[in-house]
Amino acid sequence: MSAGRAIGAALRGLALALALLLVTFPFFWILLTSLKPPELVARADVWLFAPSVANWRDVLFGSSVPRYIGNSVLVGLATVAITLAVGCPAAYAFSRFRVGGGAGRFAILAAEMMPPAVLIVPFFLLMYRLALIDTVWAVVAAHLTFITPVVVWFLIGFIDEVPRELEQQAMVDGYTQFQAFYKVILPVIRPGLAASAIFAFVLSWNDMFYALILTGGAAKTLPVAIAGYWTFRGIEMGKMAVAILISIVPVLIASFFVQKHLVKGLGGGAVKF
Amino acid sequence: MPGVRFEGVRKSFGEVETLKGIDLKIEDGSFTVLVGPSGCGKTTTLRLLAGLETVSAGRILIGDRDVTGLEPRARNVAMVFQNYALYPHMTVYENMAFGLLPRRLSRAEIDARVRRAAAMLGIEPLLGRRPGQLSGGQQQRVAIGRAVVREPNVFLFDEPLSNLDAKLRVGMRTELLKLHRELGTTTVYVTHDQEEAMTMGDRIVVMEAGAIAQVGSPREIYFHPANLAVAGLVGSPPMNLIAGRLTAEGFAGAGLEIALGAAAARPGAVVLGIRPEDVHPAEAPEGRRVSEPIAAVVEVVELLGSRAIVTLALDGIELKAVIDERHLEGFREGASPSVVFDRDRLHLFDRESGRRLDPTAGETPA
Repeated sequence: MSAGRAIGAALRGLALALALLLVTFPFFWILLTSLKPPELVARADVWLFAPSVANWRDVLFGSSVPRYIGNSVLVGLATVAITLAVGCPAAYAFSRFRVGGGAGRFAILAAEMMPPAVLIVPFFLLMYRLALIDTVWAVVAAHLTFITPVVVWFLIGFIDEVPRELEQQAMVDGYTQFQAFYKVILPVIRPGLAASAIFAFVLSWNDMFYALILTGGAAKTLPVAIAGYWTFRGIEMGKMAVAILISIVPVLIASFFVQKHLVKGLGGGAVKF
Repeated sequence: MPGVRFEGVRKSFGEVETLKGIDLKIEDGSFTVLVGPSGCGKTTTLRLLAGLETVSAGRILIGDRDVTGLEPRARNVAMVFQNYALYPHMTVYENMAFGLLPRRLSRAEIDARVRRAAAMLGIEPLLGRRPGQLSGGQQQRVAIGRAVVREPNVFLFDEPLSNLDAKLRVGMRTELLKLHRELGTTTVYVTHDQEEAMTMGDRIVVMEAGAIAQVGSPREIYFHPANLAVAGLVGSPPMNLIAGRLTAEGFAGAGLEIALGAAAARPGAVVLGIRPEDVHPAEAPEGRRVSEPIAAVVEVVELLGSRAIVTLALDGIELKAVIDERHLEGFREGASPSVVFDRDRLHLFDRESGRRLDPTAGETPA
């Protein structure tokens, strides 16, 4: 009995260790690569070396990567601001007024099913005509197309959880329905708003496709810059590794804070908070 | 304090007509209870008065003001919901002050009103807490306090006590009544609990299937139910209802024959109503005008303390009786005591329409 249990526990531990290794090894390898001296970067078989900060110094102080990080942050923040500003009222309408009937709330996710390739050519032409090619605003506009629906979907779940009596109480207490919405509903779903904001930021931060096609110079975002290390002279693996690490860290931190709420949001309000 | 008037109010949700024409006058300063089974339209009536639903037809007046098309905020009513609907992100103080902010009162005035209401309800120590840190009874008080500070024209209560445990509920009833005496504000109170309705209302509106079945004082409702629906709803245990016929001699049905004197002028199909407390042991009529003794078999005895609910089998029908503990001797399970009915307290209803027939007035069914 106890021996069987011990073996079970050992097997479980082994499986978990294996899974942990599979997940963390790439990160470890990238970290290692970023610290390799330039002449060893191409040598995947070398594991022991004197660490060098040359790649880090080159990327942070000798390249435009800091500027691209700034672009990514700007795109992310603008996307979050706009997506919440339009997403909250939209989610409220879907939740309370049953806009589009029961199917309406699912229909908004249809935008997610569409391959980005469908949108990109019209987008490119539109931005070209508007003279917005290679600006962060073109990227923000593109990001809104796939981020807003998910955020609305999230928020519907959170608003569904708020009893209607709360806003009805506010209406009886002397407020309009819109006032009830922003004075009562929005503060109550604050955890949901925070989770949605972080999630939206991460989606924007990680996108490469739209940014790659709509920018090319000054307005590049970090993922595009990472891809830029794949040059005609070969892959600048060391610097790329540095840029990759810089792009991963915010996502890791954000995921840590929102993972609990993400599950709730994806559950469409099936879980109480 | 203004009263409330409903004039021909109808409400439909899609195909379903929930309210089928309500005409009701609620007196200034009265404590009116809307009672009825679930789905009878009592909550809809309250929500129409609050403005949370729009009427399909008819008018609603608060005082002399037609509020039919007005938004809830323009009606100056305060409502207490069944789940209290306290704002979870605000403290008790903020919850109570929230309804005063749109009125642009001075800060000092708001503070004075909140503290006065809090003192009245004994929740001053809780003012700094959030709803999540309060017990159910405390939340209830805050919800009532929030209504009180508004000093509204009408208080609306939607089953406010149903989430409390039984003991707290009885205590809260008394407090609500005291509060009503003190403030004198017109109050409309919805409940499905007939006992709550009887104890709290100075006027009771019994609703049934989207219409008003009877309006009256608790005494009228209890002793003169206007129809079978009211008779069946009010009273615990409920009234015994026995189908039968009215003959020249009196009532006959289910093996029972009860002389009703001059009452039975015109024969017809009726339902006889006997309240369980009007069934007495044959040997203890205690000065009442009673019917002939009838033999019954005791099936179940549920002792409540000073009284017991006794289920009697009587020639194929089941009869509930409330028997004083002093007379329980002959009412052990399996025993066959004789019982009599208080003849002055029998109720007769037309079986077809359900309407009350007054035995003493000599009215008989067609």
